[in-house]
Amino acid sequence: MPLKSCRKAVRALIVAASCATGTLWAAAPVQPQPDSGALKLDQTIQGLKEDVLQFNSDASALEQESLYPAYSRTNVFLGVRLSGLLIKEFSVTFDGGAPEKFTFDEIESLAFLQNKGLRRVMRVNLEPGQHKIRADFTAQFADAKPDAAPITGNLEAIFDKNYNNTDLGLMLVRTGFRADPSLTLEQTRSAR
Amino acid sequence: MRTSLILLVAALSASTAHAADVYVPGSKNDPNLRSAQYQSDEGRYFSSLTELLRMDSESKLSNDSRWLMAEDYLSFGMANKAEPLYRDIAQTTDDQLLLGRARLRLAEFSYQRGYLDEARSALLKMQEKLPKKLVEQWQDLLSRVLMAKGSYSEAVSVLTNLDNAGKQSQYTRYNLGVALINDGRAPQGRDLLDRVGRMRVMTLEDLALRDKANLTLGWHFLHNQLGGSAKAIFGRVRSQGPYSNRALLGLGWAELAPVGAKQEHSDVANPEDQPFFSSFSTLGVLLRPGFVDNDIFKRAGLRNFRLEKLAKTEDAALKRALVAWVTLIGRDPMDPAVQEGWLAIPYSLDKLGAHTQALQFYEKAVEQLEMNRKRADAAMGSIKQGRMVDTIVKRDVDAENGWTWRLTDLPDAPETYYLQTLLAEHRFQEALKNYRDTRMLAHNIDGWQKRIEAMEAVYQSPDRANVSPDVFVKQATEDKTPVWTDTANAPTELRSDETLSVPGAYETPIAAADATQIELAAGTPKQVQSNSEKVAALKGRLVTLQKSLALANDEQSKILQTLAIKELTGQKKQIEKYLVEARFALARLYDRQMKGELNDK
Repeated sequence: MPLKSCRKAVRALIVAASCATGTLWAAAPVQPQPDSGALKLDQTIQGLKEDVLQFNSDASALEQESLYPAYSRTNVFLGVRLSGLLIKEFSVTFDGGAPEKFTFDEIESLAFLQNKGLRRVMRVNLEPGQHKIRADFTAQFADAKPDAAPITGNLEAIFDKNYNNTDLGLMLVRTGFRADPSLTLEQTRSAR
Repeated sequence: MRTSLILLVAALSASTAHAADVYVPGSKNDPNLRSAQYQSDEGRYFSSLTELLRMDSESKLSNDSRWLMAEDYLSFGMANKAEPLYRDIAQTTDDQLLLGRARLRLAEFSYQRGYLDEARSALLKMQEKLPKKLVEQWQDLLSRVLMAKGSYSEAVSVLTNLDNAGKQSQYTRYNLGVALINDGRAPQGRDLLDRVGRMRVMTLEDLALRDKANLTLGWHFLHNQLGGSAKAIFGRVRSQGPYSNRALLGLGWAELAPVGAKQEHSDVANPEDQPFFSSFSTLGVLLRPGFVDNDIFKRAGLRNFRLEKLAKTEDAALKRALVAWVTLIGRDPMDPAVQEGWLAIPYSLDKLGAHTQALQFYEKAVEQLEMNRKRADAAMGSIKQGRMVDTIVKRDVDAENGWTWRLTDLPDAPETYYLQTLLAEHRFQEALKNYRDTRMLAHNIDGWQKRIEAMEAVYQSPDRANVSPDVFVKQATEDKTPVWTDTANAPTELRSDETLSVPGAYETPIAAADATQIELAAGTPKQVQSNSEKVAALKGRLVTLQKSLALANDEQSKILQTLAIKELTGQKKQIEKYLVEARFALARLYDRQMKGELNDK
């Protein structure tokens, strides 16, 4: 191993190991603690984080209202309901338009599987009425052999965009015991 | 053509979406909540919180949503907001395990950030309802808090009172060993460290801990003039690892230190203790029989020699010390252990009577130390210009993982090497996280500038007025069933009332009900802002936030710089001290050479 990369590896380990246990050497003086100035700044930063979050929440609500009025707003969510299936690529298009493409890294693929979360992949404006959606995916099981062919599939469907916010959920599922993974479409709306 | 059209229509109708399912906003089925959950699982706590706050402003959040919010707040380093949320949820849930875990996480945050009193008090408070499953975690954290406060005796009590040593992790045992030694109960502490130093290893982290325990114990023996015990312990450390350089240095000194008394095992020794076994190359093999006598002088570029006036045992000890140190000086010259090795070799050579070689090695040591002094100066310059902190957090600039962010490796810059110990300390790591976060927030706020302009453009656009009022009517009336068409769920019901009197049968007119008192709101009515006014207000808030974030970032950077400069100054002083020692030794040797007192054997 060249010295440079060896040094890097070793240094990474020191940091990890000492953080895990908290104290570095026995019989050494107590690990110095941050002074009151540093703690005060930490409090200031916690407050600032709150302000920035509130700003983001207000601004994104306004942005949604301004750029995506409810009568045309259409949210597309993607979910994976097949344990061990890692989605790699995904694309979606409306009414034969240009597809929006997405690629997912490992962290993103795994996040789909953790707590049945949904990822909002896009928000578009569509006129109320009937629309056609097409979605394509490429995925692979985590335990697949390296040379295994990727799993691909697509879905084409027609849905009614109403006059209120429309949420479309594209779910990667297995529809039967031995069926291949496939996409399904769910349309939901708020009770409010 | 006709056939394919039919097929297409059939296929399309088969996959037409069903009628929309209705969800209660903020409930488990709300896709916005599930989207926030996804962002949280991805480590994007800031985005998740933004979504949850937006949902909170529109409708009441469910307990699930509030729990997610509390978790996100804490992960993003906002314990002040997480704590009251957890407390609120605690009123409505009986899941003590979940709550216990949350409280432990909060206490861990307080400990790492340096709020030790708060951490201690929170941990003691939760002791009463502590679920059994969390006892060991609780003990471990409380003991670390107490040790950080210097309360070693209390830490030992926490770790030993429950008599559950068998369930404790090796990290906890290591900490108990350290606490016992610092509390003056050295024999018990040594035994525990010795056991951790001989543990079976399964992971790289275990290996690092085992090396660390051996290094800690070895240096403890050395400080107590127990060279014989120290030597065996240093010999267990892997020859390549994060602790190997310090162990090599110690191994050399252990050869020259008094052997000391044989160590007796104290009463905490475990009969199941394993003898030390490692499949990794350890430092012990350096001193294997035959290896010392044949190779050492060749490897150091020296000829063999023997000074007769030295005792045979002392001569052998010096040679063995040289084995360790010659190996050491071939390693990274920026490591303080290696720098000390450069001085230790000529010291031994001088003692062995190899004065000329000692002189040569002192000259080389001066060269090495001078080079290090220059590097330390360059590192100081880099720190003062604020480059160091920027280099460390260069990657993942927009990562939103806040408190959960970990510094996994270091950029290859000299300053980061000198500051390794400091970089591993919580006070530096937590300050670094805050620095990263303020930078990420500033970046986020800057990004809003263009987005706000886009919103402004929408409100200024004449096309905006072209939406037909009919659309808004449909929007308001859609999905609402008129009550008169839905008789089953109609809120009103017609029934005959047989108690009513016939008209004119009243004796007295029915008293008019009290007119409802209409109260006028006091003060100025709440101002309703139009969306374009809201956009203008956002612009003002953006500027204020930009300034506050820049200020906080600057202050945090200064704190990091001060810590780094203090640490580096200490190291530079150490290098200078070594330089003085080397030059003094050189002068002494030259002087003796001039006087003809140096006769190499």
